[in-house]
Amino acid sequence: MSRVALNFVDVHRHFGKKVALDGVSLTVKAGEVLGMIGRNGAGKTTALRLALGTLHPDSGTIRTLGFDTVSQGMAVRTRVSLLSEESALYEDLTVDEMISFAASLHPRWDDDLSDEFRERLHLDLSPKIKTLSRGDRAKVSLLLAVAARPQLLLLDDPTAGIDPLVRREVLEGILDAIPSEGGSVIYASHLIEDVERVADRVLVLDAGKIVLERSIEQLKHEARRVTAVFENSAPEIVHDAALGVRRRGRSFDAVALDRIDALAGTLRQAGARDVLVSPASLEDVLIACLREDASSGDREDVKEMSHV
Amino acid sequence: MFSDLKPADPLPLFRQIVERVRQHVARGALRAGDRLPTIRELAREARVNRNTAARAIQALEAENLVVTRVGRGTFIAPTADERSAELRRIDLQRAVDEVLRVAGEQGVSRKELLRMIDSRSNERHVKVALVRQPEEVS
Repeated sequence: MSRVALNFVDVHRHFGKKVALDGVSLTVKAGEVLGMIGRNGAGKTTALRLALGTLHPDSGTIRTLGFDTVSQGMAVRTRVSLLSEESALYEDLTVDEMISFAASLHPRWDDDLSDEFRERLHLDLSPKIKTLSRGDRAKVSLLLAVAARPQLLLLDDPTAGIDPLVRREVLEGILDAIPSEGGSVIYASHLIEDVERVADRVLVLDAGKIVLERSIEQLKHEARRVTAVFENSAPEIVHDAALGVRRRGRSFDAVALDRIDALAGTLRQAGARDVLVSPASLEDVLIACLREDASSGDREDVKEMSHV
Repeated sequence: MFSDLKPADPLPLFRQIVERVRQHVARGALRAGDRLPTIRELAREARVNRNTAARAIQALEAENLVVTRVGRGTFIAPTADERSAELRRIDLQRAVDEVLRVAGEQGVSRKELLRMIDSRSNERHVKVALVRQPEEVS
């Protein structure tokens, strides 16, 4: 098996006039869990569908588990599971029938794993799919995705719209589903806290482009929140290192991943009375990156993510 | 012991796990020979992925706080009990460093700071059981 689970090279894809992915290159190693963060419409779902091969790129190359997703689609789809909100569940089947049906389709299906997850997730076998709550549907989808024993598991916002208690159960199930040897996972979500628990590395997508890609550990190690207080209203400071700058009255607030001392120096030179450099959380960094990227356009929906 | 880690904390999750173990050893809640959870158990309890749990165990091994015996599990190292005093001292040192950092930021002099510590430790509501050296007893 290939040591690289997924490789995108300069992948472009558009739908009509809308550019969904705009020159994305990325690599997921075997055994790695990649968190993918971005607003709705940032390109997360498109990237996952391209990886599975149910969608083909306009240009660029994609290799999933070493297979070409266009010419070797079947080989890819028997080894990769995608869990998404639109996961194909048959409304008229019972949970039990749905599981048996999925088992018959997957050559690598694992009955023991299926039973284990059914118990873990407290899933009742008898109700029909169409009567299930959103949380229970997510649990069924998770079970189907996991019991197929994929070498690459793609999760598209699996906890979206689920109440917090069930969300916790599903998240624990996902963590437990991550294969211990060699299997890889891409976890796309807009919930930063969940991504942080699940992922080793995080990638931020915005408007079809990767705006940040780093291991979570490295990010936390490097990222600093830089705040400054000025005598009068905070001046407009232009500095490459400052991401997601916010000025409110006398105070200045930004996140920096590097050249932190230089930024602090610039602020002091500009007359800052008090410059405070403190560790930044992952959320601080991601919100700052998205705000930075949106500042050219006029997009206020970054706030949506800071409130989750 | 690991169920309430804080993803939003600037400290990476694996570091938070390491810190928990260190604190437990420092306080004597974990002692030499005690078994730690397996990577799978740890990942479940802490709600982190297994790579993160494995990183934490590796970091603890590197600090010689735990030893892994193949096929038997990971245990608090035999030397841990002797080190608990040292670990407690490191905790205190970090707290002092933090005080010094804030004092530095505010431009407070060393003398002023020492006076403040002295007067605070005598205030009734913060009065802590500091061990007094004999010559200090008035």
